[in-house]
Amino acid sequence: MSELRRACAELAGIAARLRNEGLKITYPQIETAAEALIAGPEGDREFAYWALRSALVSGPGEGEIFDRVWAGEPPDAACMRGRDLSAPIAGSGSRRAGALRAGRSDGEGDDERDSDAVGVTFSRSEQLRRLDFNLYGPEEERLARFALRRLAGRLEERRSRRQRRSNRAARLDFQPTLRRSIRTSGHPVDLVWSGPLRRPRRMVFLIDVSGSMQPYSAPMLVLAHALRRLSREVEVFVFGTRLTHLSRDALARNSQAGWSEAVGREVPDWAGGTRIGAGLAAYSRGWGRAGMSRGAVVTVLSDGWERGAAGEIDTAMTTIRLAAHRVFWLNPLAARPGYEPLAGGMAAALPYVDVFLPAASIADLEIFIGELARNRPRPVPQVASLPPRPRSDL
Amino acid sequence: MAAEESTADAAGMQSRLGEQGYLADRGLATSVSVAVAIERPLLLEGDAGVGKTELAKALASALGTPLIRLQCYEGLDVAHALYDWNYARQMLYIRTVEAAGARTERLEEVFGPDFLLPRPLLQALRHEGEERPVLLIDELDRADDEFEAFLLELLSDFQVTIPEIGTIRARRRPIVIITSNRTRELHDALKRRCLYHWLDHPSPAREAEILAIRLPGLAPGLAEQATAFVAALRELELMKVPGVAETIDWVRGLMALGQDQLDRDSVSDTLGLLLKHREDVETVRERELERLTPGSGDV
Repeated sequence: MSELRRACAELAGIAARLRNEGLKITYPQIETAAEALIAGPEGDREFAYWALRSALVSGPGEGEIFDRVWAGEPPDAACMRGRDLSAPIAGSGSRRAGALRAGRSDGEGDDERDSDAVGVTFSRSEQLRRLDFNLYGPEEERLARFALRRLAGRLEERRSRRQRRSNRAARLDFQPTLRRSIRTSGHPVDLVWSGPLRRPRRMVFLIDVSGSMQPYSAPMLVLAHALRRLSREVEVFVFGTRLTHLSRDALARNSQAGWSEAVGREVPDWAGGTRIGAGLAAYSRGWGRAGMSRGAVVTVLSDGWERGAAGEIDTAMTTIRLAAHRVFWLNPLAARPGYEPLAGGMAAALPYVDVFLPAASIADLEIFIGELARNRPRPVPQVASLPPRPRSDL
Repeated sequence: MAAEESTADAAGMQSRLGEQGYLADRGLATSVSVAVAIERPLLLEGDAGVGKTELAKALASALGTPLIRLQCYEGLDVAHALYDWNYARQMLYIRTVEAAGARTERLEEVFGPDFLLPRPLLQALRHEGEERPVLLIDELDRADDEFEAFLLELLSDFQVTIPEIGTIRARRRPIVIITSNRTRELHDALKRRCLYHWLDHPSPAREAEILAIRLPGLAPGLAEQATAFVAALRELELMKVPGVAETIDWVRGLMALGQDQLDRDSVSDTLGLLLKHREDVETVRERELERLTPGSGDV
């Protein structure tokens, strides 16, 4: 029995270390892992490795983490650093007074409905629209959430309107019609029609959550979450030093958290630098190439400051662009006067981007949504028209 | 056909699958044997063409149990997955009974087993034999959220209630294999209820073994060269990476052309068997063919 007890203790230790590295391990999974261990031969290390792996890992990226923990390697230092949430992150506007608060007493928030204040409301919301996310305080954040949710709603409206107008002639759906006709003793009185539905395209968000991007990535998460609630086909990935997929719950949690602490909890590399190319490549290899990119609208939010090798972005973007329907790149710096996308990472990615937009304020995101709604068809990219790949990475 | 399989025998599973022509590595064999032993579903993810569906078929053959397959697609609903009523037959029956002027009691039979169309999930639940059937839920990522939620419920209790008939409970839990192509992420709740295995493309050595099994009369030199070539191809940024099935087709094509070596012309001619997108074929032709053949052993 002591052999078993030792194994269970080891199992608990492994689970704890995996959680530390950012994996979500639930109690039922640990139970399953224990059952798996019990079912197999005792003392067989190889069996234990594979059995625990199949119980505790739930995605291709997680396998590496498990391997590291199994080998007993010290946890990734960068991961550990990123998990300290108590210290405010540089550049966060959460404790600064927002630009709109000047001259306003507390508790006035809901008085905007007052008809006398309509003129004031318009100019305040107009100010909010154009305010850089970097300058937001908690009040602006609260108002912006509503604005972003409405924005997402507008996109859905335009989509569904287009669908109604362009649905092809419907066909009679036999099965449900028959089912209903039983109610009317076999006479098909109530007819059920069905026709091909134009589904909105899948949207894939690849969001840079490194320290410098922090004020801009949080509103994007709110927008992505709002879109997801309206149309199920939204997938969100965040990357910094590593790529992480945000599950539905994780996305909900993160979009509801305060903007200064939004993604830190989930992503162990919150305050590190960005390896954009590696992140995009990981997405392509793990999900995009398998089919997630196909026909989808892929949106990258990043300032293009790349810590990794320049060639990586190039190769990663090639694959993404070939498979995706349209590629958007949102760059918060692009709004600044005099900005030109000359920085290595941004310059490398630009040839593969269909639409390049700024993303520093709500007004910018409105333009983004407008472009999304336009849904222009794109000619199939010719291989010859893509820029030649640098030879060094072959 | 072993009795109570409550112990997981990875090596045994590996050889049993091998007898069916499916070469599984140790890790996969372990995951499968554990899934069978502790009666949990196994979620297989990986690129298209790595052999996820094949595994379920091989497993069913190896265990000597029937394979019940549910192919998921967008818009799949409970009626197509679980059961449906044969409405046409019911209506005919009702009309006949009315015409014959029989009494109403007969109408209860309208919801009897004769009029029930069991679909794969119900077939798996109602399986009569002593052995556990293999239930393959293929490409679950193509179905939607609601179906996933329904499936999660089903996988917890393995019972279903049909209002007109009653509760149907599985006699023995089916062995459930779920595959996904990752066009979307499955829900956490479902993933964590299953054992998970990521299926990678096989190594060149392993793929050569597979070719040897599938293509009798294959020249060993060709097998080595071909698998090395495909392995190098998989490192490239292609729209669709070739899977094992494509490799098999391609080598079969080469053999049909009488080749027992790789050379640039034959490869160039047969690329269409390996790569399914025009862009990929062009990419390889224009940029890589020089580098990768002939004698494409190492790159």
